[in-house]
Parts: sequence; C-alpha cells; structure tokens
Amino acid sequence: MKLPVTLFVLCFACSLSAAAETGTTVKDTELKKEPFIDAATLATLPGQTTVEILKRQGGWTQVKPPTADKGWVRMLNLRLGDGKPRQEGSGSGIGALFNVARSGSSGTTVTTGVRGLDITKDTLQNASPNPGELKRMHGFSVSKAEALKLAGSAKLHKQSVEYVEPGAVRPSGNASSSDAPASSWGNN
Amino acid sequence: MKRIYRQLTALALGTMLASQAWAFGGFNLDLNKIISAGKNLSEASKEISEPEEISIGEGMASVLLGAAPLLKNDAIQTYINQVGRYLSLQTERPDLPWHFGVLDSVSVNAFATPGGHIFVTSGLLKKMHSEAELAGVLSHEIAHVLRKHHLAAMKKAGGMGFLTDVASIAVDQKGGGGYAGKELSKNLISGMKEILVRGLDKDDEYEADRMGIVIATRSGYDPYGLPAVLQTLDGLSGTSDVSLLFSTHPAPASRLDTLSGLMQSKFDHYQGQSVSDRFRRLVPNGGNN
Repeated sequence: MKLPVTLFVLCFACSLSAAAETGTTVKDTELKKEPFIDAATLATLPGQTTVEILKRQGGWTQVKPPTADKGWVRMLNLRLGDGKPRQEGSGSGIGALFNVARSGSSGTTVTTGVRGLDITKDTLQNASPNPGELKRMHGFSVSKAEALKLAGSAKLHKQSVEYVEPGAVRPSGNASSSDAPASSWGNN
Repeated sequence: MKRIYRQLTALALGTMLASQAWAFGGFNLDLNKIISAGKNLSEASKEISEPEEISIGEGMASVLLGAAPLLKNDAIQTYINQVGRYLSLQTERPDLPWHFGVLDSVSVNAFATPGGHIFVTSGLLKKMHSEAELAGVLSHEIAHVLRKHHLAAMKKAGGMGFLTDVASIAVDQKGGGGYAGKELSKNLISGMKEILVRGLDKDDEYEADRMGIVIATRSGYDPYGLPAVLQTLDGLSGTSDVSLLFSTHPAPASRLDTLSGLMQSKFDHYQGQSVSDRFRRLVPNGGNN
C-alpha cells in the first residue's frame, strides 16, 4: 500500500520541477551560446534529438542535449516529450497523477478523488443557459482605466505591430520598429 | 419579383437541407420564420448589427456557463478581466462590452462568443506559467470576436437567413434591459451548442493564432506566450482533458509549425514581458504540465 503513495509523492515532486521536462527537436537546430540569433553556435542538433529543457526566454529555450553543453535553441523547433507517440495518461504532471491514482489492481479505470467538472460535447449538449452566472460574470468587468493601471504596474508598454498575413515571412533582421505605423487605438 | 421568389425558395431549401445535415436536430425553424427572414432579402444579406452580435454572444455565453460555472475565486476573475480588457484596448474594437471569465473545469480549453465574452478554463490556467501565456490565449480568443468567426460559422451552417432569424429572436428576447435570462428559443440554444461542439473553421483558428500573437505583442507581452501554451497542449495530446479542444482545433503541432514559419526572426526584436510573478501569486499551481 505504501508504494503507490510513494509513487504519487515522487510524481508530484517531478511535476513541480521544470527541469524534469524533456523536449525533442523537430528538425536540425542550432544550439546557441546565448538566446540570440547572432550568438555563437555551439553545435547543430539533428532533428529528433531528445534534450532536457531548462528554461524559456522569449522565443528561445535553454536545453541540455545529451552530447553537448547546455545552450539555447529556438523554442518553436522543440516539441515537449521524447518524440515517441503518447498514450492516455502517459504524460507527466497531472495526467500522470491521475494515471497513478487509476492504476489499481485490476488495471481498469477507478475514479479516485474529486476530479472536477469536464466540458465535453455531451455536457455542452445537455447544458441549460445559466443567466445568473452570466450576471455574476458581468459583475467582474473592469473599466479601461483599471485595466491600464494593471498593465502599468507590470511595466507593460504598448508597441506598434501590424497584423501578419499567412506565409508573410520577412525576417527584418535588426531591432527596428519603424516597419509598423503607430497604432491609432489604445491607451488613451 | 420572380427572382426574389426563386431566391426565397433557395433560401428556404438551403435552410432545410442545413437543418438535416446538423446532427442534433432542433434546427427545424418553422417556415414562417424562414419566410419572415427571407422577406426582405436586402436585409437578409446585410451584416448582423453589433447589438445583434452582442445579444447572440450573451446567449451563447449563458449556455457555456450552464455547462461549467465560473471558478469561485473573485481575485482571479477580476485579474483575468484586467488583463483581457487591457488587451482589447490594443485592437480595432476597443469599445465592445468585453467580459472575461475563468470556468471551473478540469478540461483544458478556452472559448469566445460573439460580441466580447471570453472564457478560459481553470484546467488551462493551471497549465500556464505566466501572464504572457494567459495574454496569448486571451488574444487568440479576442481575435475570434474581432473577426466574427462564430457568426461566419453560424452562417455557414444555417445560411444567412438563419443568422438574421437568430439575431432577431435574440434581440427580441433581449428587450430593453439586456439579456437577463429570458427564455431563449430551443432553436437558438441548439444552434449555439452546435457551434461550441463543432468548433470554428480551421483557417479561422490559424488566423486567430496569427492575430493573437500580434495583439499580445502590441500590449507589451512576450510574443511567445501563445506558442508556449501550444507547446504545452501538444505535450498533453492523448489525455482526456484536451479531447474537446483537440476535436475543435487543428493539432497544436500544426499550429506551432505554422507559427514557426511566421515568427522566425520577425518577432525577436520586440521586447516583451512575461509577467510571471503576479501570475504565480494568483495561480500558485501554475505550470503543472
């Protein structure tokens, strides 16, 4: 009886530690010394290389590959996991928690604990409108001024960025924001 | 006159065919309604007005809240409204009545309804690591509202006549004091449920991704918030918590591939904040992947 509890605790510990996460490159990927495109290239990781994920910074993820020192790869060149097909409950974290809880002696699904409410096709089809809850939702609305106050306290600064068209890949290279006109709406 | 009659017949026929194609019935609008919608064809072909759009969206939000209530945490509900409302100010529709809510559900998903109601489940919120990730998801949903993707889906499913009909029913029921739980017609409710269950056009999802990263970036957030969430979702494939999300959206891997081509280098020079400290204070279990 003790083993499942230990597993449960161990698993929970793993889920809290980001360092336990693995990722796999989707294509040949340059491993950079710093999270910048023009940083020194430490190595080129072939596609399907499984790496340990350390942290993310913007579009870059710091990783530790099996055969090289830690460095930075483009976040979008990574997928979480070891690249093998996944099965129900085989992931880390919460999914694994439930998996452990479920894998009783019979191996069949035994619901343990309070799982919480699912939103599925069935629950949506069977739902009745809930105007009272809608009213409650409206009660949480905030004014523009309140919203801007929260943004200001996190030092969020408005930037000019135009919408992008599909396939419009035009690397601009340097840090110029002159390629977009000032937006005509916003923090007034 | 003959031409109008022919169009009217086609409209009625189209609506009937559409109603048969819909799996769950309930879409058999009576002929009088169809004719009333088709009577004024010039009106039927024009866009749904903003009040109509908002009214449809309120009804749809009410249905969604019937499936899962709001999370009982006032601080989080206020917070998501502050973040969402700020994001909405960086868009072309800053004056819609925007409302944001966290649904109390283990399912990992987010929803928008026409006119400005946006929802994120507590299940999805717990998978996030920062406010920038929340902003990315909210911006994606905001984009659906900006581009009226749900109205397009309703139009596609039931025809313009149906949409006008729905709008008139919704506005009738709205009356003077806003949608306040007045009885929605069964047709209207089942139509809204169909859109929620079937999801939107896949191209509209890709468009919302493209617009979402721009809205978040404009607002000063790390542009890679939405991609980070998609990466997390990709890692959850095969689990039951994401079943509805996966059946109504393109695979996260495809969405990441698409964004990869789009964002490579282009978004690197924008300085964005991740704002993870206050996010973690409010969502202490965040990042449980």
